[in-house]
Parts: sequence; C-alpha cells; structure tokens
Amino acid sequence: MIQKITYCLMLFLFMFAVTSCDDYLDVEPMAQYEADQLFSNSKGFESALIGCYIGLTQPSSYGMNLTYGGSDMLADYYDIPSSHQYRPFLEYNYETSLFKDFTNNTYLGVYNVIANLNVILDRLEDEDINDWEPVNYNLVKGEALAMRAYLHFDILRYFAPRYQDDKDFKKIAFATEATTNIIPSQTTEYIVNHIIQDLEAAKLLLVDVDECLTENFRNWIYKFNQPSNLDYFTSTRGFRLNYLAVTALLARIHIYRGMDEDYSKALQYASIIINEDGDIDEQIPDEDPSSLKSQLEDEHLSLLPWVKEADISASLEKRDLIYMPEVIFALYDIGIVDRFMGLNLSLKEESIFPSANDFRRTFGIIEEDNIKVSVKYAKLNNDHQGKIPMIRKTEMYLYAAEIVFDTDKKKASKYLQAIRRYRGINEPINYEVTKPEWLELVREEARAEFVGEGQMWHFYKRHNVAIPESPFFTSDKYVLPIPVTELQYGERN
Amino acid sequence: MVGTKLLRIMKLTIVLSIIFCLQATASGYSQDKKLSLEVKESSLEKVFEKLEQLSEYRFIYFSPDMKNQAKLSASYTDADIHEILDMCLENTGLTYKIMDEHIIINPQASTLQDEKRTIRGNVTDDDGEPIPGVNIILLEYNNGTITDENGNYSLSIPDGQCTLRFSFIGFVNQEISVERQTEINVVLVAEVSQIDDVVVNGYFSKSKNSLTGNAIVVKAEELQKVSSGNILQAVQIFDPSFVIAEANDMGSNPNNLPDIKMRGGSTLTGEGLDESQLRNNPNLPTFILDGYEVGVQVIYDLDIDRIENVTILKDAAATAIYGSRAANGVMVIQTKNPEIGELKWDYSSTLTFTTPDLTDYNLCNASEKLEAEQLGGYYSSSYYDANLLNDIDYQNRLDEVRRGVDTYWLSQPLQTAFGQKHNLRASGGDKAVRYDASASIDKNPGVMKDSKRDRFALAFKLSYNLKDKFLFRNQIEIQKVNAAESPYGNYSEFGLANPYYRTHDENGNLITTFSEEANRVGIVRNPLYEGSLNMVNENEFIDVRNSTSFDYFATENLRIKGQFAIGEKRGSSNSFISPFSARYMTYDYTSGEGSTIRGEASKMDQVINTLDANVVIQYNNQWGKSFLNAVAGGNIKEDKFRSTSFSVQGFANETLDYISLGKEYMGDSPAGSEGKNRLLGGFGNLNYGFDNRYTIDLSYRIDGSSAFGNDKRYAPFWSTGFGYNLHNEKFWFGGKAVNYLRLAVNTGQLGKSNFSPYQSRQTYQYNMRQWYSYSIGAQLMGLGNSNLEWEKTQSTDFSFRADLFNSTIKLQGNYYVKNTKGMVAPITLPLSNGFTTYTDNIGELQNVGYELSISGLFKKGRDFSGSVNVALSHNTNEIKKISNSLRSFNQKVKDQQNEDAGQSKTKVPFGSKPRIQYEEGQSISAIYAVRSLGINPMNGREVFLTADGDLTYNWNANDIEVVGDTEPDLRGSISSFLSYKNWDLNVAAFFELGGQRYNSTLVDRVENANLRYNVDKRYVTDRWKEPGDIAQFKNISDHSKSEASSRFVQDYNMIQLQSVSLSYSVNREWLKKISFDRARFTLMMNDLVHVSTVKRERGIQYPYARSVNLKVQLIF
Repeated sequence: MIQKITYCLMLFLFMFAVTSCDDYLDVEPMAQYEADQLFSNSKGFESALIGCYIGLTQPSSYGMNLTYGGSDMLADYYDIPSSHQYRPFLEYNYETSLFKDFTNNTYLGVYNVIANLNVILDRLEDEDINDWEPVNYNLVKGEALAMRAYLHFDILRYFAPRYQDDKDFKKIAFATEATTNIIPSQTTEYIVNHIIQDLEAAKLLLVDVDECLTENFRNWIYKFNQPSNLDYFTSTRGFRLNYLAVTALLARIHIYRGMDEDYSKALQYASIIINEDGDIDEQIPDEDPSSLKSQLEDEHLSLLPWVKEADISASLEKRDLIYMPEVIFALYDIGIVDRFMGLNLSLKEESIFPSANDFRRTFGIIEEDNIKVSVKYAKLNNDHQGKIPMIRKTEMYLYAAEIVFDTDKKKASKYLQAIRRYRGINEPINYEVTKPEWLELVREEARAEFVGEGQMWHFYKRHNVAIPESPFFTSDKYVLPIPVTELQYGERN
Repeated sequence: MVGTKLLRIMKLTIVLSIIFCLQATASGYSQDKKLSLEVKESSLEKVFEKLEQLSEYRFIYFSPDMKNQAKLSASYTDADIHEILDMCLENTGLTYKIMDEHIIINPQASTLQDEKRTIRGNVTDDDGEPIPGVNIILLEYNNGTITDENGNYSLSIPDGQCTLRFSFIGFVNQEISVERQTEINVVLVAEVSQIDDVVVNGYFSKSKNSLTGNAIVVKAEELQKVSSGNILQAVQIFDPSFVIAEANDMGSNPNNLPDIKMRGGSTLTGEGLDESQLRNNPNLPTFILDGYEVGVQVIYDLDIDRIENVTILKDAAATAIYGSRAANGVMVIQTKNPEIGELKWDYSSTLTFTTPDLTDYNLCNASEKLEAEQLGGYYSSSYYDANLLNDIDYQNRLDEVRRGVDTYWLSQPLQTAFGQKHNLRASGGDKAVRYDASASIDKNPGVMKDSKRDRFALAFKLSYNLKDKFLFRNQIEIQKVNAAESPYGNYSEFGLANPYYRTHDENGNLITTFSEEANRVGIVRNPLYEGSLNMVNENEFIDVRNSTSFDYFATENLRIKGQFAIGEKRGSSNSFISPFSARYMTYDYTSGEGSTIRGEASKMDQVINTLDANVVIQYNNQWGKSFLNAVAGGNIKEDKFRSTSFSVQGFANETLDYISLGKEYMGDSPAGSEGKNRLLGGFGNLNYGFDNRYTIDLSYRIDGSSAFGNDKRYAPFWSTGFGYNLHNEKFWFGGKAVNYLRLAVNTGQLGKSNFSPYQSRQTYQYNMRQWYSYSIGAQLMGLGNSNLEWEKTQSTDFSFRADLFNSTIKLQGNYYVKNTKGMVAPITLPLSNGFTTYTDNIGELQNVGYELSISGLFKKGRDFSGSVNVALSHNTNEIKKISNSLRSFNQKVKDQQNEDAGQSKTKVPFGSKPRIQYEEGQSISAIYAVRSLGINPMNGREVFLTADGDLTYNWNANDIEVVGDTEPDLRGSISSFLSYKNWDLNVAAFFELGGQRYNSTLVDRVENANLRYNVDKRYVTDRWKEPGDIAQFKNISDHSKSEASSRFVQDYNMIQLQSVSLSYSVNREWLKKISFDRARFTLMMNDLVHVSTVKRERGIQYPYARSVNLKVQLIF
C-alpha cells in the first residue's frame, strides 16, 4: 500500500515538474484580445487598421473637432452668439477650460490613433510577407504609413508656427513607436521631411495594388460600396487612404512647406489629380469660357469625375451632399448626423457664397429650426449620409490656381473657373490682379468649398492673413497652445 | 521499556462513510454480540488481534505472559465473548476481565495470592475533574487496569516495591512508585496544548522556540470569550495592530465586509485606479484557511465554533514563504480536527438579541426643530408676500407640535433583531480512521427591518492513518449565504426627517408625502414610504470547497506533505425597485413613454473558481546540541472569476417583480467582467538551532504570476532571522524572576500584488458599436507595461519575549520598520503617447511602529484564577515618494474643491468633507483642510489662516494643509478573565488615543444644515447669535456653505467595551447522570459601550447595534 502511494506521489511530483512554468503563467483574457493573439494572422492586422479609421471618426478628431467643430469655428464659419457655450472659439479665448478641453481631447484622440498605427507598423516588421496576400500587406502598410503622416501633419499644422516662420520649432512629438517612454520632440523641418518620406513610401506600396486606380473607382458607387466580386478590405477605397489620397496629401504638404522647389512639387502632385479631368486648357479653352459647360458634362474617363448638377439638385433624400465623385478620401461614421448640432450659417451665408446661383448655397444649405445649416452632416433622410470628406479634388485645383498664378495668370484663373462652373457660377473672373488679391479670390472659393471640412483654417494660416470679418482675431492666434499636460509630462518646455 | 508494546488498538476496516461509522459505534459494547472465529495453530496474541478486528474490544495484556503459551486451534460459531475467552484461556494460567470495551488479561490470581494486596485511588485533572478511562499499568508485573467513569480504580498488586504508570491521551504520563500505600490519588497534568509550542504557517508547523519572528496564536476558547459571531472582530482584541477600519457609514450592517489592515496601510489610491484594480482590497492581509487561501468573506462568514485556532503572522521571518502575498501579513485559520474517541456530539446554540445604538444621535425634537427654524431665519423673508406664506407654514407646524406630534424618525425603520445560531458537530474515530462532520445554521437579521445575513454551512472531514506512515485527509466544506438589504434603503433619510411630521394619517394609513409648504416648491416624502413597497436588494451565494491532503512520513526525520484544494463559488444578486417608488414621481416618469418605464430589476451572476495545490518536504534532525529543520516546497494557484449582469425596466405592478416581466433592457448590452490569475511559487526554509540558545532562520521564495509583465515574470523574496535564548546561557543573571528571555531580529523582502489580471498586457478590443466600411475594427486598450512587477516591502523586526515569576507574567514586544517600494500607481503620460496613464511601480511608503503586550496570570487555591492582558500598538506612516499622476490628482482635488465652494448648499448637500490628498512626507491617513482660527466673536464669521500666515474670511483650497491624522498614537486592548469554580467572567475592551477625526456631523447637521430637514441640537445652542458670543459655530443666520476647515477636526480618544461575558459550566459528575459530558452556558454582551471625545453621529447609512447573546454548549 505504502509503496503504491509512494509511486503515485512520485508521479505527481514528476508531472508537476515537467509542466512548463511559463506556459502555465500565460493566461489569455476572454473579454479582450491580447496583441499577440490579434496579430497572429493578417485578418488581425486588417481589423487593427480598420480600428484606426474608426478612431479617426471620433468627435475628438475628425468626427467633430478637426472638421465642422472647433476647426471651422476658429475659421469663423458660424454665428456664435455671446451666450453660446462655444463662444470662446469665436473669441479665440485659448485660456478657457472649454478650449483646453478641445486641444486636450484632440491631441489625445489623434495620438491615440498614431499609437495604434505604430503597433501595427511595429508588428509588420516581424511578419513574413510570404504568409500574406501581397495586396493586403501593401495596403496595410501603405495606409498605416499614410495615416500616421496625415495625423502628424495635422498636429503640426494646428500646434506649430508656420514652416516659413519657424522651421526649428521643436515641441511636437513625432511618434514612431507605441511606448510608455516620452516620445521625443522634433523640429518642424524634421517632421515634414519624415512625413514626406512616409508618404512617398506609402505611394510606392499602394501604386500597384490599389483598386482606386481601376475602373471601379470611377463610379462613386463602388468608391464607397463594396462590389460583390471584391473583398471588403481591398475595395471601398474611397473610405481609405488610397493612392490618389496619398498623392493629394503630398501636394498638400509641399504647398504647406512652401519652399521654392515645393511649389513645383505641389503642382506636380496636384496635376496628377487634375489631369484625370484632362488638360485644363481643354476643359476651359481660351476662346469662349462660358460656352463649354455642356461639353464638360460629357462622359469622360476621369477617376474623379465632376459631380452632376442633377445629383446636386436632387431631392433631399437623393441629393449628393458632399459631391461624392469629387471626394478622394472620406471617413465613414453615420453617428455624425446625431452629433452635428446645427451650427448656424445664417448670417455668414452672404459672405461665404456671394453668388446667388452657387449650388453650394442653393442646395448645400437648408433651414432647420429657424437656422441655416450645411447639408453635409444635417440629419436628413438621405441615402448617402455619414461621409466626412477629408480630401477632395477641388483642393488640388485651388493649389494649382495659387501656384500657376506666378507664371500664367490666365491659366491660373482657369483652375478657379473650372470649380465655379461646376458650382453653377458663370461670371468670369478678373485675374489681372496682384498676388494677394488673387490669393483672396482663392480663399473665397475655398471657403465656399470646404464648409464643415476643417480645411479653411489652414488656408488662412498658410497665407498668413487675418481671419476676415473677425474682430477678435490676432495673428498670434494661429499657433494653438499645446496642452499643458503634453508640455509638462513630455518635458517640452 | 517493556510497556510500550503493551497496548494494541484495534483496527477498523477503512470506511469512507460517516454513516457506517455511526452504525459501527452504535452497535458497540454489547457483550451479547455473537462472534464467529476460526483459528489454527495461532498464538494467543494472534487470537486477540482477530478478536479486536471482529469486535469493538481492545485487549490489554503483558506480552511476557504470552510467551511459552501453546498454540491453539479452535473454531467458534455464534459464540459470545465469554465463551471464546473461557476456552482460549483454559490451562494458560491466565484470566480475563471485561471493562467496557477493554479486556484485561491477567495471570490467574493464585500465582500472586500470598502477597496480594489491593491499591485504590482516584485520577483527576488539574481542575479536580475525574478522568475516566486512564490506563494504569503495573510496570514490573503483568497487571493493569483502567479507571471507571468516576476516575476510580482498584488494582491488586504484589507486595514489595513496584511502579504504576498512569497514562491518558492528552495528559503527561505519570509514574509513581508504590511502597506501602493503599490509596494513591493522582492528578494528571494536561499536556501543554501543542498550540503553545507550535506555530502553524499554513504550509508546515514550526516550534515557537525556533521562530525568529513573532506570531500571535489565538485559541478557540480565547476567541469565544470575546465574540459569539465575528472572528475578525475578536482578533482585534488579541492583536491591536490588526485593525478593522472604522466604517461609520455602514454601522452594524451585517452585510458590510470589514476592511482590515495590519501594521498600517500600504496603498495610495487616486486618479486612474479603477474599481477592478481595487477588487482585491490592497490593504487586506492574506487569509489561509486549513492550508489554502480564501477571501475575507469566507472568514467573515465562518462559524466561530468551528475554529481551532488563529495565527497571525506579521514580520518577514514569519511570512516570507508567502512571497508575493506576504506584505500585508498573513492570517492562518485552522478548523477543529477530529479527535480519537468514541462518537462525540458537540452542540452549541446561540440566541442573539440585537438592539440599535442611537446614543450618538443628537437630533432636535419637534419643538426644538421649530425653534431652530425660527432662529435660523427659515420663516423670514425680505418680501412681504413671502412672509405671509411663511407665517402660514409656521402656524401649521406649531399647531402640529401643540397637538403633540413628535415623531422619533430614527427608530422607525428599526427593530430589535432576534438571531439564532445552531451548530452540531459529530466526531470521533480511532488511530486509523477519524471523522468529523458539522452542520450549522446562522440566522442573522440586522437592526434595520428586513436586512439580514443568513448562513448555512456543512463540513465533513475524514482522515485515514496508515500505520503512522501515511496520513490522508479530505475535507469538504459547503457554505451558503443569503443576504438582503433593508427595503428602507439609506438610514440617513430618517435622520433628515422632521419630527413634526406624522408617519400615518388619522385613518392609520401611511402618509406618502407631507403637506406642501406654502412658500416653498418641491415636496417632502415620507421615508417610510419606500420601505412599504416591494423593494428587493438581495444576494446569495454558495461556496463549495474540497481539500485533499496527504502526509507521508518517509522516515522519522523526513516528511512529505501535499495538498490539493479546489473551490467554486456561485452567486447571484437580484434587485427590484418598485414602479411606485418615489423616484418615479417626477415629470419624466409620469407622462407619455415615461410612465411605461417605471420600476427596475437587475440581476448579476458570478462564478469564482479557485485551485490551490502545494507540496512540502520537511526534514528535521538533531545531533548533539544541534537541531536542524529544513523545508522545501512549491505551490500553484489559480483564481478565475466571471460575472454577467443586466437590468430591465418598466414594470406594471410591484407584485409582478420577476425580471422577465420587465418591458425592456436598460443600457446597451449586458455588462460583465472576467479575469484569471495564476501563481506559481517555490520556497525553502532552513532553521538551525544550537544548544537551545541560538537560532538561525533563512527563508526564500520565488513567485511567478500571470498578472505580471512578460519581462518580470518571477520575483524572489527572502528573509533571514536570528534568535537568542538568553535564559539558557550559563551566565544567566535573571534567576528565577525572569525564567525566559528571548531576543530575536529578522529582516526580509516581501511582496504584494494588487492589480487587475491583465494590466501588464497590451490588449485589444473589438469596437462593436461602430462599423467602418463593411467591417469592424479592433482598438488598443492600453499601452500595457511588460515591466510591471510586485510591490516590494523591506521589513525589519526586533522582538523580545520574557516570562517573569514562573511564567505568571509574560511580556512580548517588537519594533518594526516596513519600507514599501515600487508601489503600483498610475503614471500620467504626455498626450502624445496616445494614452493618459499607464501603471508602473512607483511610490514609496514607510510604516514604523511597535507592539507590546503584557499578560499576568494569578491563581488562588483550586477555585480561583484569572488573567489580565494588555496589548498596545503604535504605527506611523509616511509617504516617501508619489507618482506624477498623484501629484496632479492633488491639484485637481483642490481645483474641484474651489469650484464646489461656490456651489450652494442644496446643490451639494453633504459636500464639505476633506478630500484625500497624498503628499510626500505626510501620512496616508492625514486630514487635509484649511486652518481655522475659529469664529470671530464680533461678527460670527470664520477666520482662516492662509498658506502665507495671513488672516482671511475667504476659504481657498490652496491654503489646505495637514490639520490632523486619523491614525491614533496608541491603539490597544485590555481583556481580563476571572474564573471561580464553575463560573467564568471575561471583559474585553479596545481603545484608541491621540488620533483626530473630521467631525462631519458638525458640518452637515450644524453649520451646513438645511433647515428643510432635521438638524443637530447644537444648531440652536452652539451657534453665534449676537456680537460678543464666543461660539464654536458661525452666525445662525449665515446660510453660506462652510468648507472643510480645522475647526471641525477634533481629537479622537475612544474606548469601546467589546464584550462582557459570563459563563457557567455545569458540574460534570452531575452531568454524567444524565449521560452528558459537558454543558456550558454563556451570557455575552457585545459592543455595549462606545465612548469617544468626538461627539458625532455614528452609523449614517446603517445604525450601529449592541447585542446580547445567550449561548449553550453541550457535549455528549
């Protein structure tokens, strides 16, 4: 008996000894995924990337603060009465807790997505490409790089002085890894260089695999909807940072940097987008600019065709609210229509859209509860809602108009003219003006174009002009204060 | 010795069922039992052995008598024992005698006839109680007997000198040489209970003398003298450094689990630490019940009558083998083990009467309240119209007061609770198989109507001993608890109700809302109304644990022990809020859709699984003057919890309260949480003693846990100690006055882990609320910290133990320093990291203190004895280092306080409490408030001192500083025990000296009191009324809100009479006649008196209570 027991005991001890301790201590959570588990296959990477896009749609970033919310309030789009809770934005009162919350949340929201992206990029380093569909690998890596660049660029545009003013400004963290260590600050010059590098790399990764360069993209239906024959991850490229978006972003950052060679670079990238519509001189010939309207409406082979008047003027249920064919990249969040709180455009209507014929005024604004709001995110019973435009092709036309003006005023005017044509404005433009006057014309066009999209602030800042009509604005307001916790705990003072 | 082989105890077939045991015992001792036996060429000894197996008899004989006896062969069928023995002993010269279950074989009297004489006597214990069944053996000859039930014996012995040995289990053997006496009365001394010498640490036992640390051992009898229910409460008396946190809000709510800390707290909480991180209360010691770890709730609900002893381990040497669980101390609880003997029934019953203790409430009665309203300007307004309405209100109330309405609201939801507890235990067995089964029921209602905590428990222990080589034990415990909270809800509502309101109208119906005031909006509701509805808030759980252990005694020096325990606890909570509740009497719920969503039910289910296994090898040896004890072992442990909950709203009727009758779910999706924690550890202990003078003790443990970061999976812990027995030195100078003096010192590194299971991980969660472009996305939940590790506590302890005057006075003291480093705390990150905080090991804390205990024993004659014990403890605590996030938490708290200071009283009704702050150099229990110079007698305004030392009338949170500390300078207990004949009297009290308290009553019920509700009497008497008044409280007509200031901080000295008990043990001789073994009656009063220098309301959300218990214990 005792012997038997002894054997059992020895067996037990043996079993106890051979079980690997580390395996025993590896416990897998049930309600969450551990990173190792998630990234064990390519589907996990895809989910993590989609998670980043969802992160962008949060109110703290492009779901409000950096689009129709804080950013457009700062660009003086709305009537904000003195009793209104958002009044500090109109007054550029950066010391209020409301504004501090805005910068805090934005900073955290944007960098949270960057941390998510850095985990993906870091994990990709260890991946064997042979385990992947090459298309998916390129898409994940290319989009992650592009998104990280996009986000750093926006932080830089809001929180640092202009490149030309202080390229050595060094308080912005350039995050290339998800870590608990303090992320070092880099100079504006350094960050811009790296953003360009990342975008170029993304462009190379995407060029051969991106569905956006195929027939599918031309029809906006497939830009934002999944064609039945395609995988969800490789299609619906309009909702993702596609090859064309990366190209447009490169134009955006070069014109931002604004050094001598940058304008030609910016024009070069912008032209890639613009040339989709054919040569500008063909679009708007010198002889009779006004007679070409019908001709322009003809079918052609652009990947980003101009929106049709019929779609703009359709009933509210069917109306194209954001000019979908022209949008290069948009975010998707149906929740935005519940969040959009109807910021009032009534008093600004005249100045934003001086022309009464402007489609953007006649069809782009509706009256709701006695105030006028943009249709872009208003709560309508519309089939195409929930899209937040991030880059549209008219931005490229505006850049071209701006750059080409130095060498060819007439040609420059054609870029502006093209936009105006498709918005129902036929009055010719007087392009025999000085450069500042010309830039003002460009900004006026941009202002009408980017309602609710958060881009206008950057036009003003880049051109270094005061916000028109604002009694509160002073030029020192262009650099938003970096949140205190960021400076304090990041040792960036 | 010759006698060692004399006794052979029969073996029982191994039976695993108690029923069999009961039957077997029931059928014993019948001399009529028929036996069948067949023997062939057997020695007499073999025959006896067979008979032992077949019957209940045990043989006592002298082995030399058996030599030279012929082998015999015989066969008996259905013979009785007399027939068999008569035939077996024929011609052997032997004779037999049957006494109860013993058969004594003696040589035939004739051989000794010439010299025969008879010796008689009586055997008793220390207390003079006779001991039946004592074995008496005549060592030189072949004779023996046992005492009868009165302890008497008689024995024939030969002339000349011989020696008698008296032996009985549990008593020290005594040998007496017989010369010419004819009567020898013997007093057997009880073997000093092993517990005095042995300290159980949960893994193995150690002799107390070899400890280089200290352990406080409390025996069952001692515990039962001071508490009839709560073990934890009782332990406080024996060790004042074991502190149950004051729970002024929760009072005597039976469902409030105590918060305990030992030797000071060791946790900083603050922003970023969520509830799940505090799931395992970070101050709680580790509880070990019968060798495996359990939660505090198991101990709280454990029946005190089942406990054998409690050991409290505090210093490094004592706790180091618990490694990462040791830093807060370890409490080891052992339940009673079965003893050898026939079936013994042990029944105890306690009847408890609990009454609320409202002595600390000092509220106005109806006329005083009206006076307070008048004085406080409740009825005066600068508007003429309003004053007319005010007059109506006042007149209405005055009429009521004159009619004699004076409702004492405090007593309305209360009752005198009658509780009862019954415990029945059956145990017994022999050397091979022992059993113990117990069942208990504890009906424990609270003083608030319909609140209760009922407990049911079953336990069954079985042990099997195989030839002293192998010991197998199994223990099953089932614990069930049904708990319910009172439907009357928060008791504070009753403290607020105005005494000039009636509870019932003229027709005897409950009033729901009191007549509205003419000059005020809003209605005042009768707090009794909610209690009259169907309101349910209850939870129940059942906890089943099984523990199997084996001991293998490989050699005399080597022992291997293993234990495997599993447990499962399943619980559910249910709550129901009646659709008629007052909370639904608002516009939102009375119109349209709202009227369909009144009423709410929620349900939560929870499962907790635990697994705990360990193996310990123990070796000890002694050569020359050296003694060595070496232990090595390992354990694994797994805890798993899972819970789900959901809520439903919209009930049509309060009687239709089943959750499925609700209209719809509340909230988005069901809630739930889950976690799994695994621990793996190995440990060793080496204890070397030399000449009973020096002891060296070394312990080491390595622990691995799944909760820790991948890079810090294992951490080592250790301790080393040295003990010196001064009294064993040749040069010892203490002489007889100091008969024992031991000095010891030990130091070591201990750990603690108190974070949630997955905190060190980088985890992702799928975002199910939002989809994006035809798919769902996964998002990072936190940065994780793969370096996260144990908190480490360096603990050093100096101790002494001295026994004076023949051990009648015992002194014990120790001084300790505990430095905790690497405290787990949230660290604030720059926003650019993408997350605001992560958890890391930062923060340092120091606890320094001493403990001292003195006990004196006295004895006068046989009947009178007693003892007095005084125990004292002191602890100071200092924060050495805090994390950046705690620093910003401090500032946030101040900002918040400044913001709240502007709010009106009604908006923040009880808002002026000092907030928790953590500052380096201060104690974690410090009270932070603005320094106040008191009330200016000229204008009745409070004068504050700013941080710069200026005087001001303006309260500013930035002037906040430390104005007190809740931790007392001295905490202690006094207990005394008197015994006279069959009567025992025991008194125990504990006290605190030199601490401070922030008296919230003064703030909430005097200065910030809202006159719409009842107020403290001091509102009228102690407030400033006119210039020149030296008052403690500001102008009675000043209705601004008072903020936390040092004016409300008072010195706190407290004494609480924990228990007074009187018990009577019934005379055993008398009991024998009615075949009882023991009977004892105890009358005990608990929490009788509480006196403190701070006059404030105690028991805010649930009142405190006193209890009187009547306990009957019977053993038969």
